[in-house]
Amino acid sequence: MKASRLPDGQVIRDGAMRIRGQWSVAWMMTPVAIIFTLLFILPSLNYFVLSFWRVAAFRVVPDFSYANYARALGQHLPVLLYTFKLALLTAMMTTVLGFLLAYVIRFRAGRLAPFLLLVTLLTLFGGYLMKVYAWKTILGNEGVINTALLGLGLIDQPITSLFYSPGAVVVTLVHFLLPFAVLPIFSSLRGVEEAEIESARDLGASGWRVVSDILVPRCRTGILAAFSLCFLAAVGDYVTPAIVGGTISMFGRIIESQFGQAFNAPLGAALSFVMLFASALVLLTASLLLRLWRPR
Amino acid sequence: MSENGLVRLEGVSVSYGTFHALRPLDLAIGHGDFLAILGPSGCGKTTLLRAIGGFQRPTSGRILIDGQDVTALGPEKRPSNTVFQGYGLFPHLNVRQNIGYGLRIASRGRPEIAREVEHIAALVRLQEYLDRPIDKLSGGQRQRVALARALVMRPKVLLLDEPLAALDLKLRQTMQEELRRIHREIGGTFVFVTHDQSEALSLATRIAVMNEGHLVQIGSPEEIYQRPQSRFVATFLGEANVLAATRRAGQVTFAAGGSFASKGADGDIAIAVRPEVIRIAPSPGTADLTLRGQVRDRLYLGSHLRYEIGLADGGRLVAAADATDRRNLHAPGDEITVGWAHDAQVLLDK
Repeated sequence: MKASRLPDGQVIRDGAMRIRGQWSVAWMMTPVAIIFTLLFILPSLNYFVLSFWRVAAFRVVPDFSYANYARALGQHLPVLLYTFKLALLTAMMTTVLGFLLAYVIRFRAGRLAPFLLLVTLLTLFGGYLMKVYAWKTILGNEGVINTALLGLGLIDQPITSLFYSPGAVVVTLVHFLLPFAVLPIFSSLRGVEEAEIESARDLGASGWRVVSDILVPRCRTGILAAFSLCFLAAVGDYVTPAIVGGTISMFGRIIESQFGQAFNAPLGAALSFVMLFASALVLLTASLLLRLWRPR
Repeated sequence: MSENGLVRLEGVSVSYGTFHALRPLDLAIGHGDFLAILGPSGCGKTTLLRAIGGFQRPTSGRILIDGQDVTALGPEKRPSNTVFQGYGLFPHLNVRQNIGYGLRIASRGRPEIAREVEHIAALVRLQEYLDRPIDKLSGGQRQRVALARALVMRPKVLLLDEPLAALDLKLRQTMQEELRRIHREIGGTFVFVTHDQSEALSLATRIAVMNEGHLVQIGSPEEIYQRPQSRFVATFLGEANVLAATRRAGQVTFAAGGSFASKGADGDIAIAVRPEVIRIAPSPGTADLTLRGQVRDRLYLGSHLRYEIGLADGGRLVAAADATDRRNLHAPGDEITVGWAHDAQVLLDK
């Protein structure tokens, strides 16, 4: 629009600039494209093909059968649903907590805000396993809570369900994933002016109406990013359930075992794609729901 | 009701620790007032406005709107609405939704909301922009949306925080006229904060001047301009010469010479004189007071000439003279007499 008002020579030069700009963008994208193709697209295609193969006498044999998918959606469906339930719970809890924390950092912390943000990030440096073991010292059989309860004489036996349980998996994952939820939501909230919130209050909005009418719609992308990151990390995780989950089985552990002890890579590949599509479905639904979220 | 004021502040103060943003003050704002709270930045004027709007809890005192004590109420429960400095429009909603937001919160019916929004959009001349998103509006249009969004709530008092500060000069003048027209048409009570004295003078029916957390003087624009009570008000609102003088036995003598009779306690006093009331080389009998001085500089400003005059005591006097009057032409270096009438000068408290 601006170009049309300039003298002709200028327009042409402007156009040339834009073309050169497009080329430089293409150049900058190339390394990423190569890495992405080599390390993600090609292996994915490989496993996609593999998922239709079968195993015979401990050897992978080329084939074209839906048997692996039938097993994935038959025998393993309950575990898939259970995994999604835990991951959804984790992602929703993390997103809500992350939203609260991001809100406090953005609007309430004042001069403490940079410090709080740093603390949030600091927990990322703690490492993943360290957090898992930290929760073990809190929730475990010989952990802080059980020892205290035993010491007070409130219980005779340590409560095993405190630690080796789905609850422990969710708590550990929420703790681990919180920074991934805070950061995208915080960056969305930075675009929200304090005057918007004050205006809404001035026009009669209660605290909840401010959240639902102003903050959530204004932070759609941040909330979706937070939810997606947390959901994907939770749904694919197989280390946390193995350490803190006790006997519970999560989908990631089943996939992992197909590539290990069970020696059934084709089934593992099929399970992976089932999970991929199911996850995509969840995220699509989430983004649709957020887009439908309109102030009443 | 009106003699007590629609909005009443009784001993309201705001402090943060040892910092006093607002010293205890009383203020009454009448029905239909268009009050300007005027002062330099950091004088507490915005804090005062936020206290009335419910965004700032006062440290002490009471705030009453229409006889109701609102001190403990949040902004959502007060019969006031605010136009914020940055407007605080909702960018995810279009103009119509922005204006109707408050009515929707109040659970009004759809037809009523539509009617009210159309009505108020006509008042602020936004009818053609109702379906536009906020980011497709100019600064002046955003200002109108913010105004409409507050006015549609029919507030008992409308608060405006530096409403025109973000606009360029031309737009500011247009919006000043618009604000005056809207105030006239709906007959509401408006309170606005500004640091711009010309804005305060041209818009307000009453001006409250603030400095360092104190309410220094309140009155009509004419009162404030012509009868300032302190050196601060005299120099903050428009230009004023403040001359040192001494009173001895009912006779006031300027440090630069010249004297007149005035009752009062002996001691040093200050006298304010506006540049435009000073006559240069007054014909005999037209000035009650005269001083001698030397022209230091002369500026041609189109509508008037501005003289800078050096006085006998080394002080400086600024005088404005009619540019079309050829008799008034004096060159730098000329010795001249300046004079003014008794009632054109103001004796300041300090």
